[in-house]
Amino acid sequence: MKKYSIIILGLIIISLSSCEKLLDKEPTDKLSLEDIFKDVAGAKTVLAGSYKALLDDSHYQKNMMVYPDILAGNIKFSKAANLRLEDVYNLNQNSIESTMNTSYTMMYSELNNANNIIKYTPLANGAEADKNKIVAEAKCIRALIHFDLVRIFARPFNYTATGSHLGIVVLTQPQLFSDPAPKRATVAETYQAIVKDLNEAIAILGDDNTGVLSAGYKQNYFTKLSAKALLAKVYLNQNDWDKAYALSDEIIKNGAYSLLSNANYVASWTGRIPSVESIFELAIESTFSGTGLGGYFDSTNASSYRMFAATTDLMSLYSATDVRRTASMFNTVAISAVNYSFTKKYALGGTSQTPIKILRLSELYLIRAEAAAEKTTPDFTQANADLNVIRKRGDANASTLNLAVKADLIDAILLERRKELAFEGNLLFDLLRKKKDVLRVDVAATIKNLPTNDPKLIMPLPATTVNANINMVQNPGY
Amino acid sequence: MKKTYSRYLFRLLLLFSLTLSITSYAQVKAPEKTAVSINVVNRPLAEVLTIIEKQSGYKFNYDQTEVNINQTVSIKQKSTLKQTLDGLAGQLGLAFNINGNYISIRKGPKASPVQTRSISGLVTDAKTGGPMPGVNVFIKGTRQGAVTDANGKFVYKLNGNSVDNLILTFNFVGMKTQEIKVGNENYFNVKLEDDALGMDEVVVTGSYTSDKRREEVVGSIEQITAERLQTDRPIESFDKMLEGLAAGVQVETTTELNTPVRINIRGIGSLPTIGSSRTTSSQPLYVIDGIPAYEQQKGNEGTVFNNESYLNPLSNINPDDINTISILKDATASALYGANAANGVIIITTKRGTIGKTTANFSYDTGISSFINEYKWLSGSHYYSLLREAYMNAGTSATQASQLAGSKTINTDWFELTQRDAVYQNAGIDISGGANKTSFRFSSGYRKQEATSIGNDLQKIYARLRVDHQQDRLKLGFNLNPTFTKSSNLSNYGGVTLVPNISPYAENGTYQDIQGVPNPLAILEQNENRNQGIQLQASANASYQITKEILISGTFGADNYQNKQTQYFSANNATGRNVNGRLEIYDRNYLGYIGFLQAGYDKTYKKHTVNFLIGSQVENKDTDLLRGAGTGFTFDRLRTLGAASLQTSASSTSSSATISYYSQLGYDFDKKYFANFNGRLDKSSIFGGDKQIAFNGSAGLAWLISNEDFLKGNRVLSSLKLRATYGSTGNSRIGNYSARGLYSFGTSSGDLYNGNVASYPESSSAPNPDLGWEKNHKLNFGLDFTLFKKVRLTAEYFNNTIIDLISSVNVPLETGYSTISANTGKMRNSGFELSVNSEIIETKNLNWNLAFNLGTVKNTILSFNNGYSALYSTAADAAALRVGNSANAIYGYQWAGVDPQTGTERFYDANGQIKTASEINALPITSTSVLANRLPSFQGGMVNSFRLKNFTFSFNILYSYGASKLVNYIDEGDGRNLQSRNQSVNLVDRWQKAGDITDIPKLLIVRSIVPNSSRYLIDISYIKLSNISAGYQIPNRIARKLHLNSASVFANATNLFYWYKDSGIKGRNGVAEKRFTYPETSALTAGIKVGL
Repeated sequence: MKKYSIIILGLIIISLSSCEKLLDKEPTDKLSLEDIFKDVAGAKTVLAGSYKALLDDSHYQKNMMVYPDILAGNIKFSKAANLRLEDVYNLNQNSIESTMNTSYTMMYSELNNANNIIKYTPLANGAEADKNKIVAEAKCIRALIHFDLVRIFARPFNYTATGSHLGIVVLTQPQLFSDPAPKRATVAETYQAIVKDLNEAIAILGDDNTGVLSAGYKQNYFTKLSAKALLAKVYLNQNDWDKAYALSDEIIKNGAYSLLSNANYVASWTGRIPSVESIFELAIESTFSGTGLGGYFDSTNASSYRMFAATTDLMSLYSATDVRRTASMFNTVAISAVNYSFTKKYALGGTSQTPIKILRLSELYLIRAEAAAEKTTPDFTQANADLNVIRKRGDANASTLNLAVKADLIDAILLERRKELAFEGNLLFDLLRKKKDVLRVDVAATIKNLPTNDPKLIMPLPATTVNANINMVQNPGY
Repeated sequence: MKKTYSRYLFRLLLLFSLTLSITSYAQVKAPEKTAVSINVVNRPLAEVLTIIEKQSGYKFNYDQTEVNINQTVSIKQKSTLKQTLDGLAGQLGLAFNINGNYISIRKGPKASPVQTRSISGLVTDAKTGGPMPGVNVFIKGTRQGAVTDANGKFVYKLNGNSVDNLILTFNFVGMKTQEIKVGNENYFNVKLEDDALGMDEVVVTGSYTSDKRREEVVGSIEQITAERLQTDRPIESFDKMLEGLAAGVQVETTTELNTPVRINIRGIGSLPTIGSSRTTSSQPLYVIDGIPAYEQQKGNEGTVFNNESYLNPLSNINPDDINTISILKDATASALYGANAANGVIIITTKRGTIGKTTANFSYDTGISSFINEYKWLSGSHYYSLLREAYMNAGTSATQASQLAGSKTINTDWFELTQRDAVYQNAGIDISGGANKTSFRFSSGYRKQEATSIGNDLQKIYARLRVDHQQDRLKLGFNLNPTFTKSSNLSNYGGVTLVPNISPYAENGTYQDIQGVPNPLAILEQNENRNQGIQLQASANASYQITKEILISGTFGADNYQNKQTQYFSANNATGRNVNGRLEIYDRNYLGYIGFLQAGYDKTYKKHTVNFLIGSQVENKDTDLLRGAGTGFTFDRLRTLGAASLQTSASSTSSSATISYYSQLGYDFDKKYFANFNGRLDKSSIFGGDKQIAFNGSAGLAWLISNEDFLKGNRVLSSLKLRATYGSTGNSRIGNYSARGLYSFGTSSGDLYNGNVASYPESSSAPNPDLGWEKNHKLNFGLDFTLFKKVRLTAEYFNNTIIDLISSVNVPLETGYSTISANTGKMRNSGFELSVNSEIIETKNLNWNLAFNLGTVKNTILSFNNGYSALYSTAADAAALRVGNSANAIYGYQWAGVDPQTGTERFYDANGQIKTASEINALPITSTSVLANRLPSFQGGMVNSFRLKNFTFSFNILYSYGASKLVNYIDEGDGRNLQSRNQSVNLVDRWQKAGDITDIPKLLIVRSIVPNSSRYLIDISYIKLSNISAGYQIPNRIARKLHLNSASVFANATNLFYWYKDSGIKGRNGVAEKRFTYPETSALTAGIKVGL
């Protein structure tokens, strides 16, 4: 009796223990998280996906590049129906259906992906050097996303003396369902995290200034220099003038990038080859055929997508000889007998879509100018000189400025930033960090002007996340 | 015929020879003194016996099935009869018993010792005459005795002094127990009769455990026999047949052919799917002869497979092959199935052959089904005038409105053009029999069923072979069941909503698009959508009785399902015109296999009976999908992928596996107190890490009070039993990779970046390593009692608490996802069930059996998402998961009727304020409240069967109370988008001018509607006469004259009458018309059955 039981039990256990491997099931249509990070080749596909994701409509392919300009007065609508970012334009966005909710959702999705890379790549099979580079690039992407989020959903750094007001949820680990509900960090903590990521990446990224992925151009990836350029911009937003100065100075002097000439400026916005002054831009695939950012500015597109026309507020800023003026940098078409001008920075949509430029050397000049004027030991000469470089590049006839009053100098730099970086997603953030009010003239919105501290200038957190997260604090006014 | 005569002749001869032998009795001498001289080499035994009979004057008596008289013998002997017989006995292993001048021959062992007596016999079914294996032959008052073998035979040695006075009891569940005094008999020919009421019914308790007598069952098991299932009904699958037959089993039936139905056992045990949320399957586990079968679940494959249609694999079981269906409802009954038993288990056993004469049966039935309760649409002229009015209501001038409203005279009845009365045909044959140790049954069937929708047909060919073999302690069984299906699913009901005042034909006679919508008639003629598939289920099992107590057994089975769907959208109509014809071919291949190995120990010691089993199981499921598609066909009738100018393909695979260990301990004392414990450990590939393992177990107790002395023999309360069980079961049927974070390639954000392959996390597949089994804790109290041996009642109360409910919940967006599948809820299903089975009249010529059942269920969500946020569907679905309410509640706003002054609709908001439609639609979805429930608060059925001599008659009644349905607001659009679709005939009662009191608002083409208002809610409480059947068994003597063993004719009529709680106004659409989008049908069929 006993003997039999033992034999039977033994048989059963032996027969099954050999089956245990049956339980290791991997999907084939898609790859599991565990599977994709098994080796460097897999991790690289995720990194490529991370860059690609930045091109989402709710991130750089539209919202991030349009939002700061439409809210601050560079953009008006050329039509009345089927509009994008209409709520932002009219300043009647709400937490339930704000256009920027999709940006919030997408950016945290991108962040989760970047965190996956940073967490799991070190465990993958493959060369250490490759793994380190993948992680470093992912950290740059993470920094960029945090930087975008904090500028849209939180007050600027200098809102409080030490940046102790509410920032955003900073994530440096994939957030799992069972993890404690995330909390908003302060703005200072947010910037700390961004700076940390970039510094760590800079330490690892090679001097060869190329990405770990093959094909394309170095400008399509985060490299040592593009990471530094981003960090310079971050320091600028953090009012860390000395560091902003040092980094922008280093990049300008490095010589890897050079300013375009006046003559080459307009043409640099066509085609898919990065210009000499481009530092970081998102590549568009040769097979691209979606709407893309260009579709919204495409003057030839008579269908529903063309809608973001330039305001006269902006166009009146350019002199008659400025290469960036309406006649040369804009396509003007009459729509229902009214002339509308569309920037040539993204002149065509669909298959003619051009890459999305995120960092250019001209911005670094303007960063160095502003930092020079603001730094511990102000250097107005350098500030005026940098400002003049950009002014004269745009307009050879421009006067040589030599401003000695700091406020005038800063205003001149801000004005140049608006002229040079229009439609590149900067205007609102520049106004806010400099505590300037939003003043709009050529817009049809009921509310045109808002003081810099108005709650409407900071976007609400999506209601879904506030409802689902007990720790979440909504922005004031929503 | 010839055979019968020869049998008579034989009997006459036997009688004659008996008479002869009696007369010659006095002449014989004692065997020791009778001289016999014999010398044969290799001659048949029969010849030897004849020689001995001649020489000795003794007569031999034997059973030809026991003694092989044709076996050859060589014997050379010249001595006494005694010595000769002893010699033969030693040589042939036979025993010779001399009694008077008769010598009976049986198989050895040699002559028994004086104190013991060997008895043997044959037990047969009084009704069929077939042998009955497994009958307990016990000495009364003990559990000592024998069990009949596969041939219905038994052999047993009786010991003791007063053997003659012992009484043998012959027990078999479902049969009346017989008692026979041993006396001086050695051979017993016993015929057992059916126990009409089935008090001692044999219950199939599962594929791991052996069948039990009803009174010994501890768990809650409802068993439905083939007879009760009424497989003659023109219904293509057994799941649909179950409607109304078992307490607490609700069938959410459909009106379409060959589409899956949902079966809810004791309510729905999982959360409903809301929006794109992912939940576990709430369907029971189906087990067919030990092999599980699953409904087709989708969700693991890519979106390119979305166009593939769902089919119902359960319809591949020929209802005619079903012997019994057992529904395991509580934890004790189902915990042995651990994984996936959360929503109950349905065990199907198929018919098997019996040893004996080979019998063959043939049946054929055919019939026709036609519509009942069809939705009434506006006729062409009505439509014209209402559309014109709708335009004018919006301010269009009368002239322009007349122009816009189209034709005044054309009346196209799209329903009539696309629907039909459908023909049903079903033929079947089965052959069964067996000899010695092997029995078999082979059956085959052909079913051709048309749907009432033209272009939709179903054909099935079924085959099933079952072979059982027993050799001493070894038992083998084999089952093979291929089913071939061919179907066409071309048409959908959508076409009938087209506007009625446009002709389907252009002036030149060709089909024209109807306002840009494909012409349904063109689709029927030019398109294709057909399925062709085979399902093959095969299983083999073996068991070996090691010792009297220990039995080991193993089963291995596979389920293979292949289907190829071919869809062609012709370039000649709007479905395929823009791409110049489109061909899509889906190839689905599913292979599931399961194996289990177990050991059982059974022991009865005095009053204690113990049975224990332990086993392990492996199950693996793989699905492979292939899709080929092509567009751009140069010639429309050349429909191969090769002819397409643009071809695309896709494939998908997914698989899952479960490994399980299970054990059961059953104990009873004196057949009064029963206990049952189950435990099962499952490891599933679906979950990750330590969440893979789930342990489920149950404990059950039963007290058969009627076996206590104080109730024994009570005439009123002939049986009484109390049961209490508690335990848990699990559910993991959520899709194969739900706990995994998945990276996809080639989505909008995937594809390539600078030519580098890019992957990105799939938004619907968040990793959740903490995702684990959903668990259903089931508590059950049961009371079984029988009154006057006539009425059997079972009353049960259940309280199931389902914890760790899996649902997609809204999560903080910072996770990178908006929803994640998680164990996040808790809910309760509780209710009461009553089954009554009564043999009201039971006489030789007249029988009346009544079976009635009732089941109630109440669902409450106890917690969800940590109480943090409820989950809401879109307004049109009107569903939500909100704590405190039922998971099946319908959420919305109360309708306040039509304003007699303005003709606009009004609604009440949550505070009872009257609001307009657009004001209501602007309210957040969270302000909706519960309007009704989708599931009935109680439902059940009643079957009455009568038999008068050779006539049988039965009718089924189904009822359901308390369920509501939110009908599609589009059909009741009140003029909304009337220019592009037909609407309900009810619109003729619309509001037209100030002061009109009506339920139908002013017709407007552009208007806001509130899809989740009580206006679209109907109470579908009903009583239905679902089936009437009649049969006549042709008397045997007539059948014989027709050269048949048996013959009968039968007829069925389904869905004859409906009584709805709220029947509505005559000539308008009411509950009956709105309940199903696709109208129900009533079928009339008739057939014959003959036994050859």
